[in-house]
Amino acid sequence: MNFQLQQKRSRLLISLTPLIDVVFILLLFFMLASNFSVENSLAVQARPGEGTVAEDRQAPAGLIVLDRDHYELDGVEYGTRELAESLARLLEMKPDLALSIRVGKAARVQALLDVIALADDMGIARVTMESSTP
Amino acid sequence: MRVRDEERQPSLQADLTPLINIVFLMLVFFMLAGSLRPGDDIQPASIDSDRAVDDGLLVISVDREGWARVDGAAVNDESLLVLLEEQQARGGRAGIRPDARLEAQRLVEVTDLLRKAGFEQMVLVAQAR
Repeated sequence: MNFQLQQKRSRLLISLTPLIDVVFILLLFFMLASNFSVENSLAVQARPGEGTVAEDRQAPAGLIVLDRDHYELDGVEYGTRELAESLARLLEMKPDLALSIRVGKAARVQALLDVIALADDMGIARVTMESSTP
Repeated sequence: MRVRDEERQPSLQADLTPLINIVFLMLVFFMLAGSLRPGDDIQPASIDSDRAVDDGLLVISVDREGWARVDGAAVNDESLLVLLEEQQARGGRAGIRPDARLEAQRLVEVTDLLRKAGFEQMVLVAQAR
């Protein structure tokens, strides 16, 4: 009887090693492939094309010229901080302002997105982009 | 000698149960909390915005060299235009996810492609700050 019991017990033992191996591999995969960064969005409008009668053009427009490290708003050059202030002043005068951003050759995407985000933050609904070189 | 060996062995066997428990917990955490990274080497630009990206948005990633990528695969401007026109015909929306190191003029070119395909509104997708 005793001998039989011992036989039964040894059969019930399952080796966990392969399971742990697989779990470790899965863990490694998910640790390396997982992405925790959150992505958000910003709305922009397509610029009116040739031949389009855009009612947007009737709205008072502000033009920002963007190049390597400076911004120009309606012909006056600004740094990043002053741009926000002068844009706010302009917005007070023209609440339905439509903003157009002219992008220079040396401009980087990050600077462009910063301006668009700034305009969005100020509640400017119509933001369009155009290239300085046609 | 034999008796000694038998005595030593049990002390060398570490209990693996707590380790396995923690590994399982970590596995469940990474499976549920993380999302799998798309297969491209784009460093997305960052923005201060709290608007989430809509589901069903056709996201066009643009890498630092200016190549447009849809679902990780590079596409030229002609094929991209076809894809965009199909999306427009379905009534879907489209967005651009540019690399932070991209030249801004290339981004404007891609927005022009979207306009050509008939999109009046588009979104820019970037990493939340």
